[in-house]
Amino acid sequence: MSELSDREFNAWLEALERVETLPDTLAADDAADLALARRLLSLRTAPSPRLAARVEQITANSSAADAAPATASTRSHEGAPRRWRALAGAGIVASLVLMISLAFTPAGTWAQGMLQRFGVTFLPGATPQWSGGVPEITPTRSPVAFSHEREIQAAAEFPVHWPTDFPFDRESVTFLGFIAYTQDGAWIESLYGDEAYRYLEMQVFWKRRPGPWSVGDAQLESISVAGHDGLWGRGMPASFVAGARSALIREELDGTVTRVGNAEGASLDPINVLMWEDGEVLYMLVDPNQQYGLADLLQTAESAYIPLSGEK
Amino acid sequence: MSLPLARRVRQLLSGESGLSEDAFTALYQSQLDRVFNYVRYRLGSGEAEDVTADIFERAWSRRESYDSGKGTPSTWLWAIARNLVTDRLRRRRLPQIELSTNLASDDEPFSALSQQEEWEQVRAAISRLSPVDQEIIALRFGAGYTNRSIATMVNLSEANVSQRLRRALHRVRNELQGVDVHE
Repeated sequence: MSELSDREFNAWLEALERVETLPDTLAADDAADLALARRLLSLRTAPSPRLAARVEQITANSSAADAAPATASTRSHEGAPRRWRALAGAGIVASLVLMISLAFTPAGTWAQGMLQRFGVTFLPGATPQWSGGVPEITPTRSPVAFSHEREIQAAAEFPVHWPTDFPFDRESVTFLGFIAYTQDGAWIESLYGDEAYRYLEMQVFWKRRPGPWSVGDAQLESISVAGHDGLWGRGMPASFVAGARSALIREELDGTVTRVGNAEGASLDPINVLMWEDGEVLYMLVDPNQQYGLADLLQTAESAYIPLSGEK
Repeated sequence: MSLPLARRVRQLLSGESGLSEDAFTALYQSQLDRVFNYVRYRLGSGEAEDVTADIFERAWSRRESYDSGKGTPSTWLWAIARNLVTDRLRRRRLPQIELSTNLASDDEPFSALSQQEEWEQVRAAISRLSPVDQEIIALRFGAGYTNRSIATMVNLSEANVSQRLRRALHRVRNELQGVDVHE
């Protein structure tokens, strides 16, 4: 039986590299686990000189390439990822704005209206990765930007439907959309802004290739939502791009994660979440305040959800 | 409230950020060892060098996307490293390593195993942990991060990381003891 608390055990872990021998007074289990930790530390190795030289060569080669005149094909190749990153970055920023506004200023947009009515955030096709935030960041072909919903609907290889009750005229606002094709599927992001590009609304759609849902080691219960396979999780850690009342997680496209509105290292407020798939599109219904149970979220999902077939 | 969307979009489009060559050099000099050992813990020794080189190549090619307003260069690099490792893991869909099969013909006592053999056994035991626990182990013992830093990186509380780390160590030890029993 272990006798050290987690805090004490961690203190010993921190001290392992400075302490020659562990005291005999430790419980057998603790001593054995700490001995293993010491072994794990000892199994670290230095990178070979060949690797170090290889990494140093990266800058040397690129500097030489930078100095050479660029060909037309090189310019074309470099242009697309930059634009894609920029657009995707804008989308992630918009995600953050959405989450912040949901958490701190519940008024205004369609999503905020949903929050007021149901205490939930309804995000069709929200991010499918619990720890990844956005899907694979390596596009498999050039991303495409669009200036109207219709263009996305025509270009997408799967049905895309937007909610119909936005509190603004969608024909008169600024629309920015893009499709990024990735190893695991296609990621569609659509943003609405006013004349000054101030954020109004965002919708995300994610079509992934067939395969098991990637939800890490989260505990989720299988459930049927509007006749589709779904998952229900109560008290999930809000460790993806989402907001809880006092803690927001912001994950950039490059994977940089920052916290907003909470002390570093503090526990995050858990959330309730209901997810379901229609075809290969993942939908997500989030209750950030854990105010509602499964029945409430199911009712909300089934009444607000527009099936891809177009049938209510 | 964060930057207005329009301003942020303009900033992204105009490329008002980046990492200088000198800063990149300082970055790889300070992080190469850590990144290499992290990759080694996550993917094994076989492809650790190649993947580590790929990480720095990717970082170099994306250095213009670095924004000092979002974090330090090492935070940025580690995000790239962890994404690339996750990508590799997804692509190869790691087969389960059957300890009993791999080690059935090995009559050598565990205590007398070479460091390479010991490393392979430890890696096999770690590979049976949940992905999150594998990541925590790699960041703690490969990269040498503290639990507090790991907590920030994996979006868990420090207390949760400490707890998971301790349980993970316990599970790895049981796995390794299982090897001893088989022998």
